[in-house]
Amino acid sequence: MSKFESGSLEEIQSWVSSCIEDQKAFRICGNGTRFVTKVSGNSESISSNILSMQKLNGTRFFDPDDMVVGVEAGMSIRTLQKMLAERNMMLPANPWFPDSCIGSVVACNDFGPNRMNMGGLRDCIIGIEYINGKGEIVNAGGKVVKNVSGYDLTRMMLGSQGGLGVITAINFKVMPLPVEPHGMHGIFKDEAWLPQVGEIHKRRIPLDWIQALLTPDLSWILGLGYSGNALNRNRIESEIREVFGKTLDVHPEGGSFPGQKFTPGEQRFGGFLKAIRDAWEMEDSHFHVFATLPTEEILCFPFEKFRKENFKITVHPTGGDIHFMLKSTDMKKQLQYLEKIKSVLVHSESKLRWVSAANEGSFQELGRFGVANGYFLTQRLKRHLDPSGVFFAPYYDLEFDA
Amino acid sequence: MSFGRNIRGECERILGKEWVKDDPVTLYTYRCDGLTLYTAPPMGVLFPGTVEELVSVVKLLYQHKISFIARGAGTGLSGGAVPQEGSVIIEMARFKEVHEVDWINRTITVGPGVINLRITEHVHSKGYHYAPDPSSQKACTIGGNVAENSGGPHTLKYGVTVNHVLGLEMVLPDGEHVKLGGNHLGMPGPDLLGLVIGSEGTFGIITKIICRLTPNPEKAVTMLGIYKSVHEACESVSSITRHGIIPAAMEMLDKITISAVEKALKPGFPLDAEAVLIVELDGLTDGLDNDAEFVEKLLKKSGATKVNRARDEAERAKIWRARKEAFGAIGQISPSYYVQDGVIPRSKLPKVLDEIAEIGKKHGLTVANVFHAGDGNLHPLILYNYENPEEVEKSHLIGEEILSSCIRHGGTLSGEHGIGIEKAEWMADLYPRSSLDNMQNVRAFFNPENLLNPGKLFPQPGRCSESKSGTSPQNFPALDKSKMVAAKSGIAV
Repeated sequence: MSKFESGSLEEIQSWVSSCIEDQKAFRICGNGTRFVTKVSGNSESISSNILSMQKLNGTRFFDPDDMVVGVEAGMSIRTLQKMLAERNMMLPANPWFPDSCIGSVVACNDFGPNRMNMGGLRDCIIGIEYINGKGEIVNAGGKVVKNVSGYDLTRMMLGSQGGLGVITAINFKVMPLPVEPHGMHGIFKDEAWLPQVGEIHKRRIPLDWIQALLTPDLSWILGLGYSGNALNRNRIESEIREVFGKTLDVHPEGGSFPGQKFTPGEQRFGGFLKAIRDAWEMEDSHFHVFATLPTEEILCFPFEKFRKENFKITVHPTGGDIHFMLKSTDMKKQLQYLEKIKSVLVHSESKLRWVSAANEGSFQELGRFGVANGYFLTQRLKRHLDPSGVFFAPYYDLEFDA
Repeated sequence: MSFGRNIRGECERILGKEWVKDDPVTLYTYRCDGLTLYTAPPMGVLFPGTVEELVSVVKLLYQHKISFIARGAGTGLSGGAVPQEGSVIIEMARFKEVHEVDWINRTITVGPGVINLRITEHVHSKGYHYAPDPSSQKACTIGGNVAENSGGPHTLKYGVTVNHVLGLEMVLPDGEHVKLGGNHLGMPGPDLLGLVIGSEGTFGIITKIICRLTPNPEKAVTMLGIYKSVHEACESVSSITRHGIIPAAMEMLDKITISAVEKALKPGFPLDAEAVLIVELDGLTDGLDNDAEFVEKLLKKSGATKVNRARDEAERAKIWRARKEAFGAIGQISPSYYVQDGVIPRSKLPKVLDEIAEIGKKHGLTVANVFHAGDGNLHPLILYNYENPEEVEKSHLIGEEILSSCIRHGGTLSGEHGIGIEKAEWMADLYPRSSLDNMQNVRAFFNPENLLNPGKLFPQPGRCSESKSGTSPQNFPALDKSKMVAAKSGIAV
């Protein structure tokens, strides 16, 4: 295995160019927080040639008055959020692992519990710099919050999983931190919260986030986040109480939740998934996939069945996703779990992604659930932009019938 | 150039005789879009009514290497729907079906020919709306909005088209029909949907769009800050955002625009003001007045001599009508105008507005300003007389100098109107060669023969800013600016 690491854009460009010249594939990694890099497309083709972006981690610009920031790909999301919070701002994306680097978060189009109500990376990315399949540095977008000058290569690179180029810097528009954020939390022995969340959704109450998670003692913690001035919050609280009765308590943001190791509210800006995985004592080779689904499908999802089969679950019910975890390192069992999940995903546009698995877990096993509409177009685009095939990314290797 | 008899016959066979037109009146009508400075007649205009018909005519044109352009309502302001000589226009007006509304997932699926405002009208009674609201929303189509990634005054809080479209279907230039995105967020893989939105009709012809629906705010408070100087109005904009408030909209009109809208629409804006700033807050009824009071204090502290709050929906509508119809109102004070669309960092507003005034003064023409102050998206309106060739020439020079100023201050060429023909030459000033080449390489992927909407977005070969990319358009004669004529809106001269 060879690994190249540098804090110099020029050196990285030169290394990438030499790989292109030699037609030597490499994979890109950041801070190593992501398990999916261990998951292969065609298992024999895992590249052992690695480009680490960890040291390219500077700030290109931060204009608080214009609420825009540009950082290099290796900066961690935690560092960026801290820098922004000092000026009372935030990036409205709080992905799973707090130490993930920005480049990886963008390359995987990560999000977090508040995506539905506050937007995700897609809504705040305004510019990008990357090294393309010819070894050239490409700039797209810019530093302004509104821009239709030329093709939106910024969004093309969002979610590209390292397959279309090496992301070296990203510009974001940021937003003010929520005013007096609060959460209402409650514990449920079963899925009684689900229709109530449906009712909240129907009422169009402006929440910041909703999250439900199974605790190690197999009860659900439901959290609903909101913010605003006192009158605004009182109204939201009274609407929630009308739906839930007295089952939920109000907690200011960051307040502890009695009797639990964590609360949805505490985790939402620091990366929510790591803490939950820690609480469940999940390891990198354990089974963990997440599904993105239409709200309609989440609201009628058979959670009870999965709870009774000892799945660990985290749900973002509106326009969101479900994380399924199981403490098993047996690949055969993991694939059976996967089939079980696939069998209940009825909506044709529900999607699945690996977070972690035993080493043989692959995109192939996700099948059509692992790719977006227009996948074959995406494969062709990959071949067009990376003719020498140096940007290793198993996402583009999937083979299945149209 | 005219339709060959065979091609015309084939088109008639596919679409029916009434949906194939190349008579002089039709060709004249379709010679330009909302930017009437640039005109060229198409070879003909086709009106497909189904995806199958569209695919068939696209395959036919592709096979005969005839260039073509999809067109919506033709309200675009950058010449994006102006045909290259010999291009066929494919008019998408018949794709005006509202397919389905999914209330739980908050989506609506529509054809590209549906008018923007119709979407909101369709769902408003159920408590939803479609957020992007370009000033032309009464006329522009959603297909055109997707092609241009349109914005509008309320994009400050709610975002532009790309933030409100979840999926689409389109026909590629060779006739392949593809689906991108879907009906919810978080699709895996590269965001090709985001790439296609704003590609100005050069990647494919959109046939279906899944739009997000946004819950209607319970209440909106609309304020009108009145100022003795544009600088103070700009300071108000900065002050509001500095305090962590993102209003639904922050729109500014300068003295010249105020006089025009007062003549045309009489919204009651003070004629002695140097600028007015429209600030709208929205959300739940509870607590909104408290936020509005705070904003009102900020406006006054930063220089507003008076802040008027719309007392009811009628007053609010009057203010918004004045803003949304401000371009048209300019006709009251000038025979023609040329609107620009540059974007600058918000904090640079005072400096750039000063520069714009200086540029106008230097060339002896008046420049009015009405713009999206909250996101730094300028719309300088260069006033000129279309019957005076010297003024026409000067309007171009002023436009170029304004764009140059925007770029110099860290901004960009267009915030919502697109590049089209109008600003294609400027792309080389905005982006390095490698970036432009990469964009053209992406176009070559979607549109390898460059048959779909050629001559747009990029500097044309042979011009001073020529791109040397091997994938740059070369099969079609570039539109010659010497043939472009200044025009009063809708009437060539």
